[in-house]
Amino acid sequence: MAAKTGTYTLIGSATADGTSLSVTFSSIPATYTDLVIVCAITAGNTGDAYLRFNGDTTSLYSDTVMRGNGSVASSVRDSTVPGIDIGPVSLISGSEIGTVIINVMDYANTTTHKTSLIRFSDATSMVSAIVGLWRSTAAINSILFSSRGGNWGSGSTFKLYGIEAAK
Amino acid sequence: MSITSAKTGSTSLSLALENNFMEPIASTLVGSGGSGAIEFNDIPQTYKHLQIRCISRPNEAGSSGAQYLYLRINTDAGTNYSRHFLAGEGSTPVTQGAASQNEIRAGYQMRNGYAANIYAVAVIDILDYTNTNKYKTTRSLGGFDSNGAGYAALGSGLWMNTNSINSLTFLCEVGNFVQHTRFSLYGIKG
Repeated sequence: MAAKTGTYTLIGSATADGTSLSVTFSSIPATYTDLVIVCAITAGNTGDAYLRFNGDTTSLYSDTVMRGNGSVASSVRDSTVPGIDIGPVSLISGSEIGTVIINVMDYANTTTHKTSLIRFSDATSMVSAIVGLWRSTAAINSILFSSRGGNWGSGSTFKLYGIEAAK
Repeated sequence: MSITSAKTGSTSLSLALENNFMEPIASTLVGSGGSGAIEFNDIPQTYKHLQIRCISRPNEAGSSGAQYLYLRINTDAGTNYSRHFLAGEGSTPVTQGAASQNEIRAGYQMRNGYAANIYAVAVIDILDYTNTNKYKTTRSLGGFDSNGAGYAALGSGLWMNTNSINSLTFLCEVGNFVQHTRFSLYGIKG
């Protein structure tokens, strides 16, 4: 079993300037196995946020959420909704940086529906783990991050990486 | 403490990524006949940690509930494992733990009566896998969603053995893995 060269290739990067409700990565190459998006979010959103794939605005998305706020653990579910919840970004306040790390598994295959693993972390408010589903067999070629209220805070960063499995 | 690259000014994750901190070791894609087990053998001893990224679906009958993704190390089927899990299933979170088990429960999988084309996913880290002074600990993030059912879960597992890890075996709790199941193994440099 011989190891190959490194993976985790930076595909795209974006930094919010405080005037945008959404951030989109498009023309994502289909040459990797998984995608990982690492987001460092500053205060700005007044609503929560979601992601969509390939410009699909229909209700083909769903998610299961597990979360804890320091006193209570809870779980909720969204079914038949127009986007996957990526966490309560509106709880990020002051000079805090909240993180959202998203694993989009086997994103380029054209046989399975696409499932994502998401971790949201904000030290002063909440942590959550989310499993999201897009009921489409299409290969993912674009990802949109949208705020349900307020713009992405100035300085928020979004980095998209490709992870390539051994061939 | 912040670690900064003198060469580029990059910090933390971006610095690690510049240095190809993660390398693909092996990957298995299950074909039309299915598979009873996914095995990685002869794992190189040259990394600090291992990561397994997978999508999987068992052929167990049933259209509700879930089954576990099992992990055994170095083909050890003895009662040398323990585990803890915290999972959300859309209402009250559930937690469980058990000692002296025959395997680690590394994730949740749906049964085969769920909607077609939906697969469970997991990212599993095995820390300090070559160290011969410590028992080995795993952590996992995984689950599935099927538009009305599903689990989001965090898990931890222990193998009570100081041997270096050279093989991993993934099993369904019940049944076999179906076509398009994929397991990919990566090495992470220290």
